[in-house]
Amino acid sequence: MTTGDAAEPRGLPWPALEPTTEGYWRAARDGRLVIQRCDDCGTHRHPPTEACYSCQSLRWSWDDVPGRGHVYTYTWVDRPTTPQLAHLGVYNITVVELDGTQGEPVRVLTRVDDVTREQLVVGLPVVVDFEPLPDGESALPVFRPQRELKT
Amino acid sequence: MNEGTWLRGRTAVAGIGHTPWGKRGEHAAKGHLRLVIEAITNACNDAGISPQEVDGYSSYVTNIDPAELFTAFGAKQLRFATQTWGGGGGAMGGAFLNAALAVASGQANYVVVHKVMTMEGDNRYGQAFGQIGMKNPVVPGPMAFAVPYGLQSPGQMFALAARRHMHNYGTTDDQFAEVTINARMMAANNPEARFRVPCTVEDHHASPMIADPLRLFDFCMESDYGCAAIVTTAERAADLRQTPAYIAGAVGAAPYRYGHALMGSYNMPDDDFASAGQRTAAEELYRVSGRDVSDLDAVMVYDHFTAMAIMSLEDFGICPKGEGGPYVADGNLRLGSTLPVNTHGGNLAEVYAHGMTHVFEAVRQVRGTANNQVNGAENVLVIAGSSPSPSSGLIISGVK
Repeated sequence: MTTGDAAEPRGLPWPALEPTTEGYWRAARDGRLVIQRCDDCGTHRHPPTEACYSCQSLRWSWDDVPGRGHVYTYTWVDRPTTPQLAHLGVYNITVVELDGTQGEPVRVLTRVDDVTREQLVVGLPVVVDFEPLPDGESALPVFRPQRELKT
Repeated sequence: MNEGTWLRGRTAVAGIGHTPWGKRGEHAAKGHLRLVIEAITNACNDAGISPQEVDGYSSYVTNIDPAELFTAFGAKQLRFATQTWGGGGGAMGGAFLNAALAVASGQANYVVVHKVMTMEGDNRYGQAFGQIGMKNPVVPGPMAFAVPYGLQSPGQMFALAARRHMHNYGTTDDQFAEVTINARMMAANNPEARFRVPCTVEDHHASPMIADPLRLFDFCMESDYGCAAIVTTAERAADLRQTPAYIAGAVGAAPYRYGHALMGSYNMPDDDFASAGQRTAAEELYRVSGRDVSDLDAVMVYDHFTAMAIMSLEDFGICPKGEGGPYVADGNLRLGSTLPVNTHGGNLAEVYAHGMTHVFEAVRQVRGTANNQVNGAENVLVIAGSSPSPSSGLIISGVK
C-alpha cells in the first residue's frame, strides 16, 4: 500500500496529471482504485473521458471500486524496448477486467506483481495494489494474485 | 443509387514511385524531404506527368509540410492539402479516400498520396513509445495509461490482442509462422525485397521471444523509405502512360468504442479486442465499392505483425471470425490458392512502408506487372494497419 516517501524511479515515465484523468492517479496515491461513473445512469467507464457512452451525460464522478478482477490478457516483455530499460528485466503488461462495475466490462492496463510466468494466465483472479510515483502526488494501480493476500 | 457509392470508380491510381528500400537508419542522412521528393518524382515519371502538374497533397501521420512540396516542384498553384489520423499505417486508406474525393469533386487535378520514414535513433518505430518520457518523464494523453507500465512498443501492444485471440479461438504460433513463411516465399521472387531467405516453422520458433506470444519473426522489419502515388480522375488516368488502377472504394472507419485501442484504451467489446479493429472499415468498404469477398482476386494485408494480419483477414470476411489461424495454416495465403495474399512479400519480407507498398502491389496486379502475378487479377483488396481509430482499406480494380 502507498505510504511514506515517493518511490525510487524505475526508469519509466509517469502519467501527466491532466484535468480528465488526474483523479485516477491521485486516488491511487491514497490507496484507492477509482473509476469514472456517470452521475445520471451509473455506468462506469475507462479510460477517463468527458461523456457517458451509454447516455451521453457530461456529469460524472470518481467511484471507488472493489479493486478485484481477473486477468483478461497479458504479454511478457522479454526484451527491453530500449537499452535504458534493460534493468527492468523481464516483466509483464496485463489487462485486468474489474469486478463490481456497472455497464460494459471495465478493463485497466496494469502489471501483475508476485506472479511467475506459469502462474499468469487469462482468468487469474487478482487484487489491486499501488506503486508510488516519483512526483509524490500519484501512484500506479498494479495488481497481485488474490491468493497472495489470503496467507 | 445507394448512399455513399458516388465515388466508386471515378478515380484511379495513375502512378506509383518509391526510393530504394533501406534498413533502419540507412537513408536518414538524405533527409525526409529528399526521400519524399524522389518518390514523388518517380511516381510522376511512372504516370507520365510532370510533378509541376501536381496540385494536391494527401498523407497520414506525417511531418512533411505540403508547403515544401508544391514550392519545390514549381507548381503554379496548390489547391488541396490534407492528412488524416489513425496511427502509423492505419490511416493509409483514408489518405487515398481524401485524394479521391479531391480529384473527383474537382478540387484538384492530381493529388499525390505520400509517406516517408527513416528509423534512426529516436525515430525507431520498434521503440515507438520507448522514447516517450526519456526527455520529459511525464506522459500526457491516452499513452499515460500505457507507457508508465512499460508498454513501450507496437509489438507489446499487439501481443495483448494476439494473446486474447489465442485464448478466445485457439490460435497457435504455428499459424502465426505461416504468415511469415508465405511472405518470404513471395519475396523470393521480388528482387527489391529486403528478406528473401526462406523461413520454416522451425526458424520462426527458434527466433527470440520479444513480447510473448510474439517472436522476432512475427515482427516486420524497421525500414527507411519514401513512397508516393498519383491519384487522378478516371478520365485523366485513361489518357496517361499506365493502365488505370481504379479506386473502387476507400474508407477510414472504426467500430464502437474502439478508441485508442491498444495504445491506451482496452474497453471495446471482446470480439473487437481480439481483432484488428477493422470490421467497420470492411463493411463500409464492401458497401461503397459494390464488391464483396467473392469478387476479390488477391488481398494485400498490412502485416506489421503476423497475428494482426490474421485478425485483419477475419475482419474483412476473408474467413470467419476466429478461424483465421486454421485458414492461413491451410495454405490459403499462397500463390496458386483461390485468394493469394501479399504477393510482394508484405511488411514482413519486402519492406515496412506503412501500407503504401500494399497499394503499389495491388496496382501492379491490376496492371498485370506483378512479380508474382495473379492471372487476370481484377479486384484487389488492400487492408491498412490495425491501429487506433480509424483504420482503413481500399479496393483497387482494373474496371470501374
